[in-house]
Amino acid sequence: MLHISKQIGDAAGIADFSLRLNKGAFHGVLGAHCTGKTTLARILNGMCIPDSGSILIEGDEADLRSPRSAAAWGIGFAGEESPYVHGLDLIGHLMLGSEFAPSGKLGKRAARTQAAEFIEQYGIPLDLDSRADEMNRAEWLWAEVLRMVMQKRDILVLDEPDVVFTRQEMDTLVSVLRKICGAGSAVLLFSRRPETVLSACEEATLLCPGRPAETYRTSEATAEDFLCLMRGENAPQAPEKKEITVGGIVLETRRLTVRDQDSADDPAHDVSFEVRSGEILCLLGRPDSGWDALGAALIGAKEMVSGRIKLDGKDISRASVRDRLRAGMAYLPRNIRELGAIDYFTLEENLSLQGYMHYQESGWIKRRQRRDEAAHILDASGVSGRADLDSYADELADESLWLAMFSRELERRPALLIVEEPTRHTSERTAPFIREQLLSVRANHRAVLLLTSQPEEAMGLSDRILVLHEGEIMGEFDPANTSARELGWYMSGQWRQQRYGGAAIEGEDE
Amino acid sequence: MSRRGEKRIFQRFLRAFAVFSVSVATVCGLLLCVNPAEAWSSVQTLLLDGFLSKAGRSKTLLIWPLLMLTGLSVGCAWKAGFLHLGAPGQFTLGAFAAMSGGLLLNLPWWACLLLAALGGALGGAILSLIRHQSRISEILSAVMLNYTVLCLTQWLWEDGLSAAAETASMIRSALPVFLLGNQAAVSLGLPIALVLCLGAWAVLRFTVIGFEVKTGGGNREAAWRAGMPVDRNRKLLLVLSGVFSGLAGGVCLLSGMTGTALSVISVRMGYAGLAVAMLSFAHPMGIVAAALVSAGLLSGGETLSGTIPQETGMMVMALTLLGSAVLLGKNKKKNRG
Repeated sequence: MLHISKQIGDAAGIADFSLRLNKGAFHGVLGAHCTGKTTLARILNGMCIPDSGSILIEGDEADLRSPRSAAAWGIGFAGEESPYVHGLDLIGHLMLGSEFAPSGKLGKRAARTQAAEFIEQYGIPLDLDSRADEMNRAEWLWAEVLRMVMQKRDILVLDEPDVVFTRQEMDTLVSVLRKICGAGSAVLLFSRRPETVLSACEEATLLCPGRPAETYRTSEATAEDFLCLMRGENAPQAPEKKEITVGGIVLETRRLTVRDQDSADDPAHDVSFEVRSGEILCLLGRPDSGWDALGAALIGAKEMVSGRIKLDGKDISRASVRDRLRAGMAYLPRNIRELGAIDYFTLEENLSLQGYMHYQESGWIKRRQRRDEAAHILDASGVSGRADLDSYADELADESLWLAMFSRELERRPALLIVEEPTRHTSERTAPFIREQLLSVRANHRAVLLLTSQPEEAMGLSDRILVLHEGEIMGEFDPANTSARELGWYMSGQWRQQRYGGAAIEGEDE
Repeated sequence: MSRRGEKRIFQRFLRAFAVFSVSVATVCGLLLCVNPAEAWSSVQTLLLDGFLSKAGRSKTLLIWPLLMLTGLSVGCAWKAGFLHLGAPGQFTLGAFAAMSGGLLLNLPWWACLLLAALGGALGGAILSLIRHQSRISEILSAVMLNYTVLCLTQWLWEDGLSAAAETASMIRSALPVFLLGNQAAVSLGLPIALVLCLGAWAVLRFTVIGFEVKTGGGNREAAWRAGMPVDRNRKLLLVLSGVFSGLAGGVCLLSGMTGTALSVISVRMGYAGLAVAMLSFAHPMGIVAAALVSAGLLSGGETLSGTIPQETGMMVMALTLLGSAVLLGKNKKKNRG
C-alpha cells in the first residue's frame, strides 16, 4: 500500500495536493496547462523539491532530493524530452541509473537479453538495434518505459505521453502499462486530455486552479464532464467556423529542404504546399516531425538548402527576416519565451520588438508613440488585468506572455500568420479566445499557417491538414472527413512502414 | 521611469552594495590574519585615502576615467551578449598606439587619442573576426590574445622605443590639464569619459540601434526572428568596445600615469573594468558611479605601505567581480516553475 500526499506552497501553482496510489493501480492526473502537472511529476522524480508536504511510500517518508534518490525509492519517470546522451548507444541508455553492477562490470549482454525478454513479455514496440542518434521522440519514450521496467521501479510516472504518442501508440502504451500494473507496479499518468485518462486509467485526479484536487472513478465520468470541470463554469463556447470563399495563393513553397547544423538529417525535406487567403492550413506532425524547422525557415531564421518560397507571388527565398516581416509575414514560435521575447524587457519593450521601426525619427525612438501602441496591443490581447506595460517578461506567466505576443503579431495585420501550437500555453478558459482570433484572421481574408502536434486542434480550426512525418508530407486531409485516429496513423509513419516495409502493425480499428 | 523599473534599479544597487561590502569584509578578515596590528589602519587607507588625502584624490581622478572607459568597454560588449575579457589587451594596444604616435611622429594629443582608439578597434575587430568565423568562445580567444599583445608590445617597446622615449619629450602629446582650485588636477580624459558614458546611456535608452543592441544581447534568437540585424550589431559592438578600451589606454598614457609598468596597469584596469561593469549591470550611469568607487579603492590601495601589499585594492575588485558573477549566474538559474 502506498500513500502519497503533499502540500506545496502557492509558488508552483499547486496548493495542498494529496493523492493516494495503491499497489498495481493505474491512476491518471488530469489538468490543463499551468495547473501544476509537470511540477508534480518533477517533484516525484526528485527534480524539484516541494515547499511543504510529504510523500509516503509504504508508510515511510520518502526523501526525494534528486532523480537518484527517487530511483532508490522505486520511482521512475518518463517525460516528453528525449534523454539522449551523446555517444551512448541504446542499450547503454537502458542501463542508465543501474550501471553499477556489484561485480563492477558493465553487463551489456545481460542487459540486452533482459531488455529483449521484457519487450517480449509486455509487447513494447521497440527495436533494440535502433541507432540511438536516429531515434525519434516516440521511440525514446518507449525506451524510457522499458528502462523503468528493467530497473523494476514500483511507481512509474509518465508526463504527458499523449503529446508525443499518436492515438494508436497510446493504445499500445495503455495495454503495456496494464500488463505492468498487473505485475504489481503502480502507474501515474499525467495528461491534459480527458480522453486519454478515461480510456487508460481506473481512477483520475483532476487538477483545477483555485479548487482542491478531486479524485473520480473513470467508469463514472465522461470526457464532457471533465472538460466542463477543467474549463470552469460559464466557459465561452467554441467559436463557430464560418464558410469563407478561399482567395488567391498567399504563400507558396516549392521543394523546400531545411538543414539543421546539429543533426545529420534534414529536419524538413522536399516540402511543397501553398496557403491561400481566407484559409487556415495546418501542418500536423509530432513535435519532432520538422514543422518547427519549417516555420523558422519560412520566416528566414533557419537556413534552407534548396527550394523556393513565394509570398504574394514574390520570391522571398533569399530575403532577410526583416524583409519577410515587412512583406506581411508574422510568426509565433511555440516557446515564445525563448524565441519571441526578452526576459528582462518590460512588456512595452517586448511589444515593440518589430514595431519599433515604425515610430522612430532619424534613429531616435518616439517613446510616447511606442507606449500608446503598446497600450493598444495590450488592450486587444485580453491580459490587461494580469499585466501592465511595465511588467517585466519574466514576471509574467507563460499564458499572459503568449497572449500578449499573439496580440502583437495580430495587430501587425499580417497577410500570413504562422503560428505554432496556439493553445499549448493556455488554459481551457482562454483557448476559445485564441481560436476565435485565428478564425477572425481567416474571416478577414488573410491566411494562417498552423503548425501543431494536436490532431484535435488541427481538425477544429483548419480548412486543410497536411500531415508531416520526419520532414516529409504524408498526405493532405479534409478535417471534416477524417479522424484523430487516421491522422495519428499517418503522423507516426506507420502508414509508410506498412506500405513500404510490409511490417505488421496492430491498432487499425477505424 | 515606472515604479517597478525604479524598484529593479534599487534592487540592483542593493545587490552591488552587498557584494562590495562582502568583498571588503573578506579582505579585512584576510588582513587581520596577515597583520592584525596594521589591519585597521590599512583598511582605512584603502577605503578613504583615495577620497580624503590630496595625493589620493589626484590619483583617483586619474584612474576614474580609465575605469569608466574599460567598464564601458566591457559593458557594451555585455549588452551585445559577450563576456568581454579582451580589455587588457586592447588597453595595451591603445596605449602603445598613442605612445608610438607621440614619440615617433610627435603628434598632438587628439591625434594620439585617435590612434589609441584605432588600436583598440583593431583588437576588437580581431576578436570579432575570430568569433564570427569559427564560433569559438570569445572568452578563450580574448585571454590568449591579451597575452600575445602584452608580450609583443613589451618586446617592441624594449627594443625600439625605449631609447626614443628617453630623449623625446612627451609634452606636446600630453592631454590638457585643468586645475580644480588648488585641490587636484584633472586631465581632459575625465570629461571625455563622462561624455562617452552619457552618450552610451542616451543611445541605449532612446535610439533604435540601442534598442536593437539590447534586444540582441538579451535574446539573440528572438531578436533575429524579429528581423533585427543581430550579427551586424554584434560585430559593431565588439569593435566599439575595443575603441573604448583603446581610448582608456591612450588616456592613461597621455595623462602621464607613470611609475608602474604598462603591462601591470593594463591588466589591472582591464579586469577592474570587468568588475565595474558587473557591479553596475552594464548600465552606463552605473558604470560612472561604480568606476568612481573602484578608482578610490585602487588609488587607496596604491598608497598602502609596510607589510600590507599594494595589490589589496585589486583583491577587493577581484572578489567583487567573483561575487557579482556568482549572483548573476544564480539569478539566471532561477527556476520559473
